[in-house]
Amino acid sequence: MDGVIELDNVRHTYRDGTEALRGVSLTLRADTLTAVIGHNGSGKTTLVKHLNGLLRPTNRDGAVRVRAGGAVVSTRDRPLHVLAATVGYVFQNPDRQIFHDTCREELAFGLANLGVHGAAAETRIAAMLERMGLSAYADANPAQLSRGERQRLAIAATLVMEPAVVVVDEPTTGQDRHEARAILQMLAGYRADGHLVVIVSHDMALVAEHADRIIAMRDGAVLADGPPREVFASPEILESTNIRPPQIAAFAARIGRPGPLTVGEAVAALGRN
Amino acid sequence: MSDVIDVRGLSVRYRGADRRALDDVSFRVGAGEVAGVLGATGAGKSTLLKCLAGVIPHYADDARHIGDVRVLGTEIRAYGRLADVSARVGLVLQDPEAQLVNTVVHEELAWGMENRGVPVPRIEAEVARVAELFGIGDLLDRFTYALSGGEKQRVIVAATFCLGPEVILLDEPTSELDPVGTRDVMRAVRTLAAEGVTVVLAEHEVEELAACADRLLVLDDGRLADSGTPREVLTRLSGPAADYRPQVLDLALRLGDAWPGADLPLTTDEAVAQWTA
Repeated sequence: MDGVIELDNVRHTYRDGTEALRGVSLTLRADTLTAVIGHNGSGKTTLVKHLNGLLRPTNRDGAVRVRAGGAVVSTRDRPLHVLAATVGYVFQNPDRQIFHDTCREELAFGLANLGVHGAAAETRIAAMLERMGLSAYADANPAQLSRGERQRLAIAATLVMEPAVVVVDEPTTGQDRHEARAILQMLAGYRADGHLVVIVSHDMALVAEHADRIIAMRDGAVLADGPPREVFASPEILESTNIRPPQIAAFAARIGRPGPLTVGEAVAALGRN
Repeated sequence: MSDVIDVRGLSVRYRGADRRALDDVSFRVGAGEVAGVLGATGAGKSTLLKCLAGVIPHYADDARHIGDVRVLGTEIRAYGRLADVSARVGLVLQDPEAQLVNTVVHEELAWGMENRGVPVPRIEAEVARVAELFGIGDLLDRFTYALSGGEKQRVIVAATFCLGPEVILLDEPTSELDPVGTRDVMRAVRTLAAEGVTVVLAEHEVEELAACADRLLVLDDGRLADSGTPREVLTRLSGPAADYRPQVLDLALRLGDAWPGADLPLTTDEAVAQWTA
């Protein structure tokens, strides 16, 4: 297996009969920021919940395999402690996973479970709070933070454990532009350290700027899979996924000069004439 | 044109806070205008809407305000109680779940009118008219909990409109929505404006906002940093706030003389028209 996570013909049918995934096969590699996009109900969250075994394929021949330590494990075998140490998961609603009285304790909890205590833990906690712009709130109660700050805390509490893979469902919900950009830059930095980062996002401008790979979902299937430039250049794909490309990409395509994904790229491409 | 909203020297401080949530804010909004409020998290957008809705001072006991907040010609303190304000000013919150109270969409639209004793035939006619107006006729028999996020927000905007308010305030109504839901909500905002309702809207989705707002107010750390037409305000933004600019406007500004248009574009359509002219 040449990826960190492999999905092999994954189907998922919920108990009410909803077919949320209809046969998805993917190889997810390290050192990649992968964005899963698609409209509400397309199967994005169901897909990423398979990456750490929160959900398992409901078809017998479907499998999700994760490289953990030196071994490859199937999520079907429910090696939850192995998966939890390898794949960190941040929920869309941060309040579902924040449960300590201070931000510092929130981060210390995960480290203690990994056997990291004392000065070693303090150093990592301080560095992570600093990276997330939360240093001033180390001893504050998370309930007093804004929605955006609580989202950053939930991400920090996962990243401090340094999992090989981190999955973040809607990292920018409830954030203003400035905070959203800061979070994406931080996740891109974690990718650059050699990790696999998987996000679910509706923010196409930020996805275009930071993602290495886009997986576009529709009706429980992968409709497009490739670098942002490729996926955003296809009007047919965008039309059928109900996804709107970044404004600058749409503009460039409509004036017959497709390619640029960011304003900087458009200035470089269009400024000469 | 008479001012529906006239705010002068408004400052608000929450109990225990070490700084003002709003600091000497003054602005006006005319009848039937759409005013967009931009600003980072914590800049004071929600506090401003709470003041316009009368929640401050009539409901919140943890906030003190000074200054004048005149809504529909009456100072907000002079309204006897919150219900007197909310009869004329509707408030739509960020989280649709927090305001849907009925099981079926039809009931949700009829509910406010029933509470006011409107005769049933009039209610039926009004529900049908409003559903048509907001393009939710096909949702009337659906369960509210089974709607998508965008559908929920449209139903809430329509239900709020059913109460006949002269002003509707919306606090980040699209923040939980995908692009399709966002577009649907913005279409509902334009419908409100076309029906003569004055709208104040706090929003992060500036590309949509730029296309439907008559004016923008920019809050920064509780202060009114700028106000004017979307074109003026978005062009003047500087520092981290420049991130709010629609990308085509940013492009035109950065290209300078190489931008072919005589005007600066806010929307993709405008930009394409100027580039290809």
